[in-house]
Amino acid sequence: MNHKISRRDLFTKGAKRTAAAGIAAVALPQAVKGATGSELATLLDLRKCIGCEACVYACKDSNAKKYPEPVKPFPVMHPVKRVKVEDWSENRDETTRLTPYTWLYIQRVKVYYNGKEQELNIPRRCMHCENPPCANLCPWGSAHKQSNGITVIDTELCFGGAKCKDVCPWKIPQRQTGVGIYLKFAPSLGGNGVMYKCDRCYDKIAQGEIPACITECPEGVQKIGPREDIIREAKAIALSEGVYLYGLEENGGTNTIYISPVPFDVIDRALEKGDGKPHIQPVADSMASADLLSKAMVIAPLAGIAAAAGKNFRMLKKIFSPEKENNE
Amino acid sequence: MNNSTDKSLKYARWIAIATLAALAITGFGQMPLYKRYYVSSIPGFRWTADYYITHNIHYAGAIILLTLTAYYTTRYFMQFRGVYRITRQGFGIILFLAVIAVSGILKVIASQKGVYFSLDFIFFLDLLHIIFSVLFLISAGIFKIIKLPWVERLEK
Ligand code: SF4
Ligand code: SF4
Ligand code: SF4
Repeated sequence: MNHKISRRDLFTKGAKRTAAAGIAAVALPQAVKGATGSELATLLDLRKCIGCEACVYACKDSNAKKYPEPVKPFPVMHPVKRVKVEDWSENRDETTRLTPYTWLYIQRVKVYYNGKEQELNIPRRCMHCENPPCANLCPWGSAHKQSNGITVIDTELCFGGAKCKDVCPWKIPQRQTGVGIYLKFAPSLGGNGVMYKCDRCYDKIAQGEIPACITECPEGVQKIGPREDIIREAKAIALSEGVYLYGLEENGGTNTIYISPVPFDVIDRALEKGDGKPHIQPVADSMASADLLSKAMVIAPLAGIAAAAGKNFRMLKKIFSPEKENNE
Repeated sequence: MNNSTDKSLKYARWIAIATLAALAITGFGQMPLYKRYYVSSIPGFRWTADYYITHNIHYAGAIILLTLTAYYTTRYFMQFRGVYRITRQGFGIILFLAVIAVSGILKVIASQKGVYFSLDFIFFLDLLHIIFSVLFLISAGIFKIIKLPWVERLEK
């Protein structure tokens, strides 16, 4: 319990620090709002993170209004053996993994690298992929991407089928049973609640404000800005300071770039992974084959028309030069 | 019209039926149903629970169907118009397929990097796609049972 209070204290400290640094820091400059039409990205410098969890609690405080308030008892869902209830409503303070009430948590790792033991704290949440499979494959468009690069799950439309989680390379979205639109249809036959994840405080961003986890961090670990600027900066730091980057190429490119003094494969080996505890491995573009097929889809009708025209051309030729055929 | 044309139409018909079946199976597979209801537990059907596989097969099916449609539509206007007549129910089917195709293509566009559609529009496309798919399947089934053809050969 003490543990939590001290973290809360740090959160307050972080808030005070932000206030001291000037409220201007909390407002999103015009360029950051994506006025240029570009996606927003964040840069997280793991060298600075002390693992205080001020960001975790800032996220919780800032987004509490969006958290699920499930109706109990839960409807019986069939087939009972296949459809498991996922209930985090009695365990809202869990901060050692992602849950519907914890959209950001700190992964703590001890790694040995270059003969030195190092401790790293990694704030983990949705990566806000550039081409997010969670959004592209959501059957209802409830998971969708905004033009500012934010991927949001609309909790009013989500049936909680967890497809977004299944197709996410990091299995980020988390389900809460007993809430959402599925209750209004056939709750025992389809759906199982609503999926939740970091929405990059899209409502704050829309107001020109900066996400809570960024403003409340006492160490200034995170930075937000237009994707091109963030990438340029990340690459420059990697080059000049010999650090490693994650998120740039992963899943075809994400809007969350981590900077680490230790290679990410070393971190990943030491990482505690599992449900709600994402890996930090290289990830190929999940949408690559679909993108290739969609290009073929553009060519398909043209090929059909060309083939038909070719066939008819041969026929017309036959019709209009019967003598030649007869002579053969 | 010669025999080889009729034969090619017969093959095309079977390819279209197989493709439409694959599209229907993989289309419904976009909803999280096959794992829940043990379809993927049937030996040989494990792939039905892999969204990437069903999604790619769905796209491949769309490619085949679009190619066939473009091919036979072109040939219809260039060559078959005097030979075949599209029936009333045929026009209904064409309408359903057109809505499915247009909403599907728009959904493919929405899934491209750097393309952003509003949530409402995507939801509308999803609904349109699924409602018209169900309408198509039901009406095609009924026309088959009561033996109403989509196209008729004109008597010469
Ligand atoms: S990111 Fe900042 S607020 Fe979050 S744990 Fe690290 S230092 Fe603390
Ligand atoms: S990290 Fe997962 S949940 Fe987040 S945008 Fe990417 S695919 Fe979606
Ligand atoms: S951006 Fe907002 S929702 Fe996402 S982790 Fe930070 S505070 Fe939470």
